[in-house]
Amino acid sequence: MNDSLQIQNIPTEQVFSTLGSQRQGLNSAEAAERLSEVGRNSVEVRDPGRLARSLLRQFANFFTLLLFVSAAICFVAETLQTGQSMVLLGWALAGVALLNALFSFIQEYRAEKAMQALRGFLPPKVEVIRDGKTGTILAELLVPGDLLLLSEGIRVPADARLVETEELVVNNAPLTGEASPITLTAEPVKSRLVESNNIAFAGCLVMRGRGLAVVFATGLRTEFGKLAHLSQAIRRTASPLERQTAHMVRVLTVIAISLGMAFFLYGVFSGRPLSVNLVFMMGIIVANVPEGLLPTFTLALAMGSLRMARKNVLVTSLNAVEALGATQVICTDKTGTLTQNKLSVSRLLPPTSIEDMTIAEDRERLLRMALCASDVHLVDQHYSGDPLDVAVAQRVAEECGPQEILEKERRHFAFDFSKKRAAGIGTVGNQQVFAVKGAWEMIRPMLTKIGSLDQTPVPVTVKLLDDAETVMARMAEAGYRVVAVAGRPLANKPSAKISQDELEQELTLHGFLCIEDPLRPEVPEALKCCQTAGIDVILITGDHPDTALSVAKRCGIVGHDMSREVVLTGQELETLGESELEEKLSRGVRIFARTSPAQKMKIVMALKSMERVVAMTGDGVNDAPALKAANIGIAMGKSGTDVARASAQIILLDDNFASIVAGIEEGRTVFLNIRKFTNYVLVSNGPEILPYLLYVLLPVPLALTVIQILSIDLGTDIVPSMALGQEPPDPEAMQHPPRSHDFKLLSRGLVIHSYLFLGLLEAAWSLGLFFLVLHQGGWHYGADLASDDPLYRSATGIALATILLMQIGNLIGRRYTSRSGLDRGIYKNRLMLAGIVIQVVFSWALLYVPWLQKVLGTGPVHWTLYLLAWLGVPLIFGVDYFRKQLSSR
Amino acid sequence: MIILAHDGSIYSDWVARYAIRIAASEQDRKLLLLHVQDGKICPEVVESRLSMIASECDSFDVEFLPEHLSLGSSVYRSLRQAIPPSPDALFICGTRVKSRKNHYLAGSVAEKLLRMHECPILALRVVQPGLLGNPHDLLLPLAGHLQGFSRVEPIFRRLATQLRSVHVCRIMQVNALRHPHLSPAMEHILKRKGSSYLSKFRFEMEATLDPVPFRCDQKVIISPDWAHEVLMQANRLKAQLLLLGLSERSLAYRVLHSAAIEKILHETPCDIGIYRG
Repeated sequence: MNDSLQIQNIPTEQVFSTLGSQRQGLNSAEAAERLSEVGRNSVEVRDPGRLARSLLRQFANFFTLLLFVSAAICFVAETLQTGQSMVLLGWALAGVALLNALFSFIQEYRAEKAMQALRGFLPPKVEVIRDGKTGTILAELLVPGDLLLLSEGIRVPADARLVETEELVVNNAPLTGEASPITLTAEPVKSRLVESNNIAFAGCLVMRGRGLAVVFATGLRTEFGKLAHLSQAIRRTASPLERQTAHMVRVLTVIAISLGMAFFLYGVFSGRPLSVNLVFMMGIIVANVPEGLLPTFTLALAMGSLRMARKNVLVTSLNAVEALGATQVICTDKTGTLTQNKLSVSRLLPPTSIEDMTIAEDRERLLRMALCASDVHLVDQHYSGDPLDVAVAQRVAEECGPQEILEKERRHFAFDFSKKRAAGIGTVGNQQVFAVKGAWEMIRPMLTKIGSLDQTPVPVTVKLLDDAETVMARMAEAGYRVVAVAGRPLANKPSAKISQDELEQELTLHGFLCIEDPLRPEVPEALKCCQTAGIDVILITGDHPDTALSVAKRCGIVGHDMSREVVLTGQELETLGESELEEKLSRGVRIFARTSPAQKMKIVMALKSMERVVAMTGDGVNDAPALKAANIGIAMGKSGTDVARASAQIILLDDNFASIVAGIEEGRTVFLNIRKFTNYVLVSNGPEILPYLLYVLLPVPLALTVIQILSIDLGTDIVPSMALGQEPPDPEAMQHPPRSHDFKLLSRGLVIHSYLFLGLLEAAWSLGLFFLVLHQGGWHYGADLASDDPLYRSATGIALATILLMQIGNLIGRRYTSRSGLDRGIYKNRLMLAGIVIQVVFSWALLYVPWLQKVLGTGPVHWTLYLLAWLGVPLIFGVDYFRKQLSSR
Repeated sequence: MIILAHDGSIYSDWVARYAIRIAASEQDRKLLLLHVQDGKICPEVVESRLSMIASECDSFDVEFLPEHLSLGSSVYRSLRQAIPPSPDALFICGTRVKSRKNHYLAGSVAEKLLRMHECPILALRVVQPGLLGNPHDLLLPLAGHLQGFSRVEPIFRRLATQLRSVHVCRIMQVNALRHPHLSPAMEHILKRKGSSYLSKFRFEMEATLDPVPFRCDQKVIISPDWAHEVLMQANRLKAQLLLLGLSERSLAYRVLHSAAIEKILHETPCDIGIYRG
């Protein structure tokens, strides 16, 4: 006995004994025992605590905790200085934190939706034979050894080995991604388990016929179950922005708490009262934490997602907005994404010449032979069926006229993914024929003659076969999908039970059909854009390597001088380990041809191991794991399945590759804008922190109170930040390579620029005016001032107004890293204009409007001093512009 | 010699397929079957199952030596007393769901057998009887044991002949709170450490099995949850057998570790072999 046999390799009778079953099925006791052993036939990964854990995780997030701490600070401040609306701010912050946490939770909860979509692929009830009787049971109760009845229209509930079939045809699309029907048999086969056509796989649809099968794997052990497990259990890695904001929040929190604690201890040792020290510690922490920054992130991402939606890129997870911008590699499908998915038969070639067939009879014969091997139906005057078969039928109708071209009495052998061919029996020129159409490499070994029916077929020779191969290769290189057509005349009407294998003998090659699927017109431009943006594009297709290479050349994925070195076939991929695949990818492989959708996951994992940020497109059920494993899963909105859409973060509404590139540009813009407003917001931290340091270290009054700091962070800075978040794409956004893996949002350069350059400048000017007001009012160094002293209120008012006005100069300067910012035009960004108006009005109102003076603890100053505060705008803008000029030299 | 513990159930039949195939690749081609007569399954059923195993042994040219043991103080003790002292033998048993349906290994006879030190032991959980005890694709997660390949060698050598591919993976476990904030530099360090362990392991494996009859691939994964990663890899690679080593560490570690093993045993997409080399 061969000792490497598995269930697909053994004869029917042995199937029963090896699975401990019999033709009468299992008895109920046996079934119950097996059920307790292997569990229910369910593809659901049961984890009752998952949602609770997920919710808890959102609230334990650093981001959310910081917002809650800020809210708590507001409540404490309200207790210390009542009637200053701090409690309102506290609730606002707590609300934002809550919303952030709930939003993230909902994102994770979406995985449930994927599960619901997957559940639809298994039937609730099934027909089985148990105790010698046929009955219906819940599909969940199926166990290995159960005898399953399969009939037209049902979904297969578990992996089962067929023991009887009657014209059984299934659609294995959920597993293979190929919608073509497959004929199943009960005979033993030599193939691998997953490629066997005597196995009915869970989740697949019975299209025709009947069958009897013995279950050998249930639930998560089925091939579909493995797919479902991956679709549910893959944990998406944190997006680059998530990692960077987490880093930023950590750094800022550490700085805030360290400074706060240091000055608290200093205060304690220098003999200040404990309550005063606590207030200042809190003040320093508030001044250090940019409370409004994190909610603004969410707003910027939300606005970015709206802009993306206008470009046919629907975002289902906000973090994907920025993650798409960080994409380093796009793995894309061909059909429908790069091409229009409109197949047409462009050329008809004889077996050994690249010149088109010219004789009408030859052309008609070749097309009719191809039609024999096709399965199309006329529905409402339109052909319906596989796109290739429809293209053949349309061409036959064009060549032969609109008369009836479809025979009623014919037999079809559906396309078999492993055989890569379809076949059929029909009539051509009053002669009954058997015809095969499919991949040349699969048909070649079956050929005995080459020619056409009107000529005497010539026996094959190596040279003739090589000539035919040359024709095929030349056409594939030209970008055509080449379909070989072969067949043989049948002397008698074959019996209904005759198999395809028996008919596939002594075939004659009749010629080739060149199938074309035109490129989408906008794709080459989009690919060019990817090249300048440093994004690698990898093509993954089921097509012939030459066809794939040609399409890749035409789109611009690879240069026109590239050879087959950049192509890897599915067969080669199967034999490669992940490390070997990484090596191939680093050596420039950009095309994966003749691949199955299941291999996408392997490619994604290899690219991720290479620390690349990967965007992967997909539409089938079996694409779901790869879509979840990729940094950005992109599902097709038009042609995608519900499972793929539920597993992806981005849905392409028009299935168009160019939309991905437009989305990347938007994503990059969002990140650049986030960086701009982070820089903008952190600048105001400088003049917020310095007064506290001076107050603790020197005998001077405090220039800014906690409520004043919060009025900046959660008030006047919000609209300008949102305005920067809405800046249009920079023309240079797609001119740079994607940012590196270790790029930090809070870089050293940004910290120095924010705190030690512009922050210090703002602090110096605002504190200068603060002390000028005090000096003019008769204050002398070391003297105490009460918080309700009019002089103190005026001084602190001018300090706050100066910061607000200087933030206008800072705002305009942040629009560009190297240009002034004025050249873009302020009026084009209305939100920015609104932000500037808010700063101006607020800076004036806090000095001169009594109710606001009361709330903020400020007082009026002479108008000349207010004019001096305005001087801060050109000062900060000019000094920063000078720096830009110096650094650009 | 291969020693098989058979409780008379269909489940043990599925485990027996592994034992027969492994026995067929042994030099002495002997399968000693030990059945403790604990009365849970009626003797007629046991006999019919043993006769089927006998005929399967015949077809593999394996000498079948059934032995019925009377129940002593426990099934474990009865089995232990019957195991012949032979360090070259391999003891195979199944590990089944317990009555409360939440434990497969903890507290089972298989676990007790795994802790004994007479000979190498393989405890199997079979969930895909369709493989007929003949897995082609093996996933071998490694925890970084100092003994390297020699620890798994007695089991691995016996399975190697029928394998087509072997995926060796080393899961570098990190704290769940620390994991999202690992710096790229730290990730590199961990990956390098894992890779160097796997390279050494593969070198030892290739030196021992020369020539290696299967394709081998290796992967290092950084994760806070090794059990989750093992299951993900098994699903992703469509592994047909998962081979896990049993910890020999402290009781506290074993308690924590066993929860992870139970999770894997519960959710496994393929057959699992638990070994103590």
